[in-house]
Amino acid sequence: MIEHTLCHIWILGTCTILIGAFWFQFAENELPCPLCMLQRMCMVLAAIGPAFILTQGRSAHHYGLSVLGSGLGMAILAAVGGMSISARQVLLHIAPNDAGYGSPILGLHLYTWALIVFVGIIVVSAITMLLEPELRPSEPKKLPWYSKATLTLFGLVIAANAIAALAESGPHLFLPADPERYEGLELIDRD
Amino acid sequence: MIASSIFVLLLCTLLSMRLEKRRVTTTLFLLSLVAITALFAHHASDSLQIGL
Repeated sequence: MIEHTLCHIWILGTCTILIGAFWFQFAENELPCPLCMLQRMCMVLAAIGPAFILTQGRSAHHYGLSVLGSGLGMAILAAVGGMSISARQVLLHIAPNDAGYGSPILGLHLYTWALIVFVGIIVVSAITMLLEPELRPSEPKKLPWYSKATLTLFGLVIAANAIAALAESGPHLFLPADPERYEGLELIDRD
Repeated sequence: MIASSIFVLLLCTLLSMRLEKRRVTTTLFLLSLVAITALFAHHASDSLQIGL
């Protein structure tokens, strides 16, 4: 049971972080740089693990593998990737008198918070693996409404990020290194 | 556009969980991870001009 509660908290926490990032992007007009976008992707990828446990947890194993182990393994892999990206961004702004990228929250920039979150994901996943050796199949067989609502919100947040990324990059393959405007929206305005 | 495509791939990974084929989800997850790593390698090597 604890793993199902944790999965819901994890996915909803990820949605809250990504909606918070949208607040900075649209309300504070701080456009995300390519590394910020990559961290968002890793945050989503890390939450795919608990979503996998929620949806596939009706049976404890698949193809001889533990569902819990697979889900947490996914989360750890994604968190290692995200940790590398946020560590690089922290190191880019580590020089004295560097103001950093974007506004700080409680004295730390978003990428520093992201680094803390990714380390937290690895620690929580490892502890869950230690304490929950076997996933107990959940009853009833169908997903409850709150799980469906959580996964729907998660899907909407991912879709919103896809649209935001397209609005920022416009027709270009890659996002600009130092974004200042929404190239995709300007393209629509021009037409 | 690549960043947006990766988010779409992540959405497909989430939607694939509706299927009972777990290998599809695992494969899409690994594809997303490789795509994110490749995009990171590109942006990290931008200033080095080694063309990744």
